[in-house]
Amino acid sequence: MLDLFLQQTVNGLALGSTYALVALGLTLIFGVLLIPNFAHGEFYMVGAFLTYALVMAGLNFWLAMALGALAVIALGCLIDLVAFRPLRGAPPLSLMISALAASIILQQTATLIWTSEARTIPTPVTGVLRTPFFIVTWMQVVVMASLILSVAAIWAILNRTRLGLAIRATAQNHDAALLMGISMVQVRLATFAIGAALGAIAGALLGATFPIYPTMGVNPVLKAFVVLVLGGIGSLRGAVLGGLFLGLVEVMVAGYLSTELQDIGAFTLLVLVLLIRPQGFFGTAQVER
Amino acid sequence: MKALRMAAVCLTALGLTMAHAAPALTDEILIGELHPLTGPASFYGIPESRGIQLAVEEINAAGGVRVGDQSQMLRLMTEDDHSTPTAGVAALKKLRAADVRFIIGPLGSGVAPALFPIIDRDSGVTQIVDGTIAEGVTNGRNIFRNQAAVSQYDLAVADLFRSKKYASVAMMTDRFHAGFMGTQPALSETLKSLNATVAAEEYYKLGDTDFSAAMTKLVSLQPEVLLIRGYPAEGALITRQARQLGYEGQVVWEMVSPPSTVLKNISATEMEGVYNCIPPTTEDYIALGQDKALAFDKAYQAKFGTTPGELSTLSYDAVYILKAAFEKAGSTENEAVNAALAAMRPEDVPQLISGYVAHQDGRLFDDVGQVNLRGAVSIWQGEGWVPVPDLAG
Amino acid sequence: MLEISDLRAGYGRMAVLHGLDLTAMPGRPTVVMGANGVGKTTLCRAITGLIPVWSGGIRLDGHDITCLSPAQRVRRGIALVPEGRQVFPDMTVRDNLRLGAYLRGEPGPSDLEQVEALFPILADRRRQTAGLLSGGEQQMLALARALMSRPRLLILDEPSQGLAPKAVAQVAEAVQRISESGVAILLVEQNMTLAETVGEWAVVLQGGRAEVEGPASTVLKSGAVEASYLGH
Repeated sequence: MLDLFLQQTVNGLALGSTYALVALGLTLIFGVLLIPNFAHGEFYMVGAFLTYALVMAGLNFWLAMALGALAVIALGCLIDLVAFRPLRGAPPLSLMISALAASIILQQTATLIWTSEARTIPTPVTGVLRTPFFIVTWMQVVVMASLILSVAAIWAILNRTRLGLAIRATAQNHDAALLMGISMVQVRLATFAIGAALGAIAGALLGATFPIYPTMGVNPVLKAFVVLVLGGIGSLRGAVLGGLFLGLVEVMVAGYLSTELQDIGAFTLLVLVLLIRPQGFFGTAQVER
Repeated sequence: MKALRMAAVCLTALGLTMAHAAPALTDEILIGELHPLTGPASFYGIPESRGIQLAVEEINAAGGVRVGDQSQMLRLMTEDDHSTPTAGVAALKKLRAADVRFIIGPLGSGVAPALFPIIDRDSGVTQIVDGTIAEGVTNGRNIFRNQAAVSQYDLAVADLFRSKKYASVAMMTDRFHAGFMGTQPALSETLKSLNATVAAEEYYKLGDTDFSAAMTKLVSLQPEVLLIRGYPAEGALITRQARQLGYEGQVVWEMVSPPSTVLKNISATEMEGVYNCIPPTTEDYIALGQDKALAFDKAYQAKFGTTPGELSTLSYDAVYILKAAFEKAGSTENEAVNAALAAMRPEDVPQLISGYVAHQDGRLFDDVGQVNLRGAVSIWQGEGWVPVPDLAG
Repeated sequence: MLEISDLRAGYGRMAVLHGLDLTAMPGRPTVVMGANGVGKTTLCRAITGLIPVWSGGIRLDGHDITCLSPAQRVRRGIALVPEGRQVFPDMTVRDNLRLGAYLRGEPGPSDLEQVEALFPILADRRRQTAGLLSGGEQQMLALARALMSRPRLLILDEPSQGLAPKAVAQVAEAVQRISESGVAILLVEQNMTLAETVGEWAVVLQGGRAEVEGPASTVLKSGAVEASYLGH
């Protein structure tokens, strides 16, 4: 019984780290630029497909992932330029519609290029780690390690570089950041680049575990928005802990109640958090300015 | 001069429109086909649509359909149903508006039940379902199906359990698949009657990626068989995650699963020894070296430059069934064609590729319009499915 | 130094400034007085480039800066202490100051020493999060942050807002010392005490225009300010 519980906990953490990995990029772009970037799921999808294509062309997985991420960075900056920058100062609803449009266009383009058939990237790391208490695949270990590395990298960029200082300033007070002479073009580019790279890396890693297809990004982004609400919008710590928490809840509900309730459990949790603590676990209440 | 040219252009345009809008000529039979040509199910739908195109071209090249004492050509009208009920109903309306009276399709288990009540009341149209396996979408009057029903898939599962005497089973079923969900209780009862304990019945949905919770539970129950009912991408993933979590029992699939699709999601070694319980597919008939299937394969590859999908022979067969019905009825009136279909015997359609078995009264379709296309057990060996002819072994 | 001529600006379709003229120069701290909604904050935002100008011109040292970005204006020596202080609440005092010097790269130790000498309280609070400071301390931080860019023109938008009289006096003293160091001051205020202490030249805004202008000692005592509040 205890074995089973430990195994389910590990399952939950593994699932949760995939949610967190997707949520990181989303929370960054939302936190800094206040853009509900639904197209993040497509950064994730394109990252997965490019990695797949490059691996199929004979490249090493990690090299393919890096090249895929670079291409998605360019895509991210392009999306910002075309879909969001012209809407500066527009109400959030316009941004949301623009994001959805970008997301649909990318999905359809991917369908034209790769068709809608599901496929999986050959796993770079195979095998299973068996301990007396639980079993975990090495690929899951890689995903969890990547989450830790990603968080460390973002933390370092945000807290140890001048650019990071500018990004944090923009997130906290947009106008004041302008008054400091911070260039919004630079901050936007950097934020979209980091966000897109995170999406692409998540896509490549998870595409080696799950099937990839043009609409693969829709569900993870919805889950990532749940994670943001749980953890607090714009909070990196919230994204990580919110993701892990969501994964655990889903697995425990599926494991001990019923698989049919798995999604219902997640969204019930969402409603509860919204009722009890609307700013999320780690978010600070928004002050009207 | 300019005005003259303008008038010429207008006249030409008018002429073109007229030609397009002209009602079907008497020596032409209009056939509508309804399949998902875009969207996630298009990799089943496109091969089906192509199978129909191929049959229509063959028939026309051979002089068309002999109705009474005159020959009529077949003309095809293709509609995309995106495999969604709304698009399916819209496509049906479009076909009916163009006065299409014979329809082949759809594929989707979500689309067919949406079309059923409309066509069921419409005596001016005849439908042959060539895709979905959902129950209750035929009526034997004007709606027939030349694809198996889920319950016929389940027969093969029962055969497998009967011969292997499995003691316990856990089922994972796609809960959005109307067909599989429909027969879930009956199958469960059948397996129990064969002395297998149903250790767990779990559900997932299309697009799910993480099954670790259910698989952990399952591994702890150690059932002899893990039966997966749904689509191949999830099937591959569930199989893989179960193995990774230490499941060592027999994995049994119940799903149309082209090896090309399977291998995009799981390695051949991980698939080795998995059973599948479905009626033979296009690829099985080709693998078995059946003459008509080989010819079909050749023609298909020559025309489309790719191998035929799993279900394309069903669609191909459907066109020939319709042709035989027109010829037997000696008419293209729906009532006469329906009667001919209801009375049809498998030997009336020599071109059929699929291995239909006549019902006890010798007919191709039974009273509700269902063919007898029994599921068979195949096993994954090397790079694909191999029929298992002798289950006792 | 700063010359504003016939400035028109507003939000959406609503004009707030209707042809405003104003000058500011070092050694002559200028106070802009006026009732709420008369366009004082709009003026500050237009000078710093946070909102676009509809027509008219803003010139700094004779160069037209009307179309420059906020960053380019900072580079030319304009700094604003915005209304409501607008410090970066989740950052340390030190990071807030670093951001003040953002365009100059990393601030040197002498920059920090200078502002900390001016505002000793900030030296004690270096590692504290700015959001936890008191209102007066935040105002000092906002001032210090603006100074980090080494401005030649310092604009203050209602620095006395929400401050206790003692804190207002501290602000006044700081502004006077900054002015004495050769920085041109443009103080937008409603607080008469601060205006009288700091201002040498006064402008009274009404209806989006400069209604009365002259030496602070005369204008502030003339009743023009009170009149503008009453809407005359």
